[in-house]
Amino acid sequence: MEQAKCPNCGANFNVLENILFTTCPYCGYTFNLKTLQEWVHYFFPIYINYNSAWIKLRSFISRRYGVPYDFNESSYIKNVMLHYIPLHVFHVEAEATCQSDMGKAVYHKILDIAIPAYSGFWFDSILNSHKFSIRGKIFFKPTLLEKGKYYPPNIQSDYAKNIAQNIANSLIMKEANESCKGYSQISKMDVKYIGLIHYPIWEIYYIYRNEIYKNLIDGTNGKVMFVEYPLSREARSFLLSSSLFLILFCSLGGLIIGSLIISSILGLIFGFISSIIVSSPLLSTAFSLKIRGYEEISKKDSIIPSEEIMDLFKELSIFKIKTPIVFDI
Amino acid sequence: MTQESIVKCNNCSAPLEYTPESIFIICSYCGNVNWFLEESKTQIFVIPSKNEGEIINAFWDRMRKDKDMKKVVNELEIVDTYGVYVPIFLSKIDVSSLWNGIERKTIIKNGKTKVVTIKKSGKFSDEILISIPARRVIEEFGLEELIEKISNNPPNHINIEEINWNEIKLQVLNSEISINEASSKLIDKAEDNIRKRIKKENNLSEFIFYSCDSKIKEMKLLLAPLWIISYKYKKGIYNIAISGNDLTFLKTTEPVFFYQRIFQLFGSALATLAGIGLLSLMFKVREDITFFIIACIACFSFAYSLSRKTISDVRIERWK
Repeated sequence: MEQAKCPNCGANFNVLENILFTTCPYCGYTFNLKTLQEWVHYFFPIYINYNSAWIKLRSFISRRYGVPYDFNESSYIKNVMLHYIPLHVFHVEAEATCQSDMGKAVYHKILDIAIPAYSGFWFDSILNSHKFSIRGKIFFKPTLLEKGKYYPPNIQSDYAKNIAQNIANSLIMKEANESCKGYSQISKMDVKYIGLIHYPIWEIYYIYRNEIYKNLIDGTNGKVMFVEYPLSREARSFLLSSSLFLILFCSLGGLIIGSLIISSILGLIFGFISSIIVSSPLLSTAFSLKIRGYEEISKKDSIIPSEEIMDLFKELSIFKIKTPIVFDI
Repeated sequence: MTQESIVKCNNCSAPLEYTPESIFIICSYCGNVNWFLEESKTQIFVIPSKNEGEIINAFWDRMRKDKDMKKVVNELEIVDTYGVYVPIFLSKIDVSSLWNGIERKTIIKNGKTKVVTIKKSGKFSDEILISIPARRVIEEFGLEELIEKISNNPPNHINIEEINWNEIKLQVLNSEISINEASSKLIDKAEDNIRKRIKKENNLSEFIFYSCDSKIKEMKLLLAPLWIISYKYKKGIYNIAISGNDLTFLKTTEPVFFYQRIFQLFGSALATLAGIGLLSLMFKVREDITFFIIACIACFSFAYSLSRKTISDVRIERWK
């Protein structure tokens, strides 16, 4: 533990070592511990409370394929945690210019990018690909956090800014290269730091027939980020018999088609292999102990504009940096 | 920055839901427009919404007429209905574009397939309508479709000062994007749309050069009504987004029934067989390999997607 003094109200309080920013528990002033500079800090209130999160989760699971009929009656909560996860948010305006025989062309890209400012969760990879909403954020006040766990950022804003810039770079260059075969280069790159946002996420563990399932729900809009649920015996047998049907039908079909066109053995092989591939979604579900899923939202729902960015995240592997530090406030 | 005070309406003093990025807030009680960013002040227009009763009637009407849903209409229950006005920038943009690209075509000549490349070039200029939400995130269910619909055919809209707010009032989502930011976003979108349009209309496989000059001629801020109905079937909850001015169904999610799963399974089996047939033919004729490979991949991907759909939880329909 280290002592910190709030530059705003003068209060003394303890902070954990190795953190970059802190928020005064008395006045809510967020500042950089080294420079004592104020940090723009926003916060998302939870619009989805504990109860609605659980209701939302159950209704989402209930409409999934193959959930046991007694799921609602036989499942109950074991443990719930509310995490306030820090995000660095940037507004980027990028421009690329291409010079070719036909003339000069300019391309534009404007986007908002949120980069998780904390690593160390089992669900880091889910956070990377999650589409955070920026709607309805308010200025940060520690009293608003209720009983959630507040995570101070352990990823520097400069580092996150670099990532945001890389993302914008690759997107604008991709656009330029697709539009023009001449010489393209970036002619403008404004990355504006909007601020640090603390974002609520519910981690819910429930029990169904002695088995524990873990789940994540976005606390601002109730989107299901991750679910685990059981598969009923009936559904498992339907999936297995469907796969068996596909394999037999296609192998037999392949045998007949093959004998007419080329050779029955080759036809049988084609039929068998292709039917295994085609029935793989059914087979993999039938043989999973726990089914996993998430709520699909449209691509444009995101402030991170496309899947390419997620690939970039993976390439950059930014989430292997520091050991996590967690404290309650 | 950390201080938060209660913001009240200039006209009726009702509390407003102020957020750090609000540009203006329309008071839900009296309809007064409270501006927070003077330089972004602009005329606001409203696309009036039908009332909740009419929206609910439209929902039941659709469910009773839908060939799949009508069989279970008695088991449906509405659990939530809400409507909001979403702020949208609608803009007329003059675009002029110069392009040069390549079309790749597969042709069959004397029984042989051949890929030929054709160079194409052209000019394009037009006045187009583009709209974007005046918000950072298009997060509301069905909003993407609403935006597209409004750009295709903008509905009648009335100056907010000339309407009786009490008759059509709904919550208005806050606007978070200033006029300047909106202009750059609109130009970005216009460039992208024209690129896609030229590519599609001319069957281009790639561009050698594409440039687009866009000038905004006119820009309006519209409040467009969007309604979401959540309904329950068995234990699952499904959503429907309806455009409030003309009751168009923008996006619907519906349950998948058992017979649909069986259809998909059979479809998948037949598509696989077609793929096997093509594969065998390819080995037999040993010519036109490219054509056969593409056709096989198409058949198998279709079969695979149908097989995945067999275990999907919802069917999504979108406004076109």
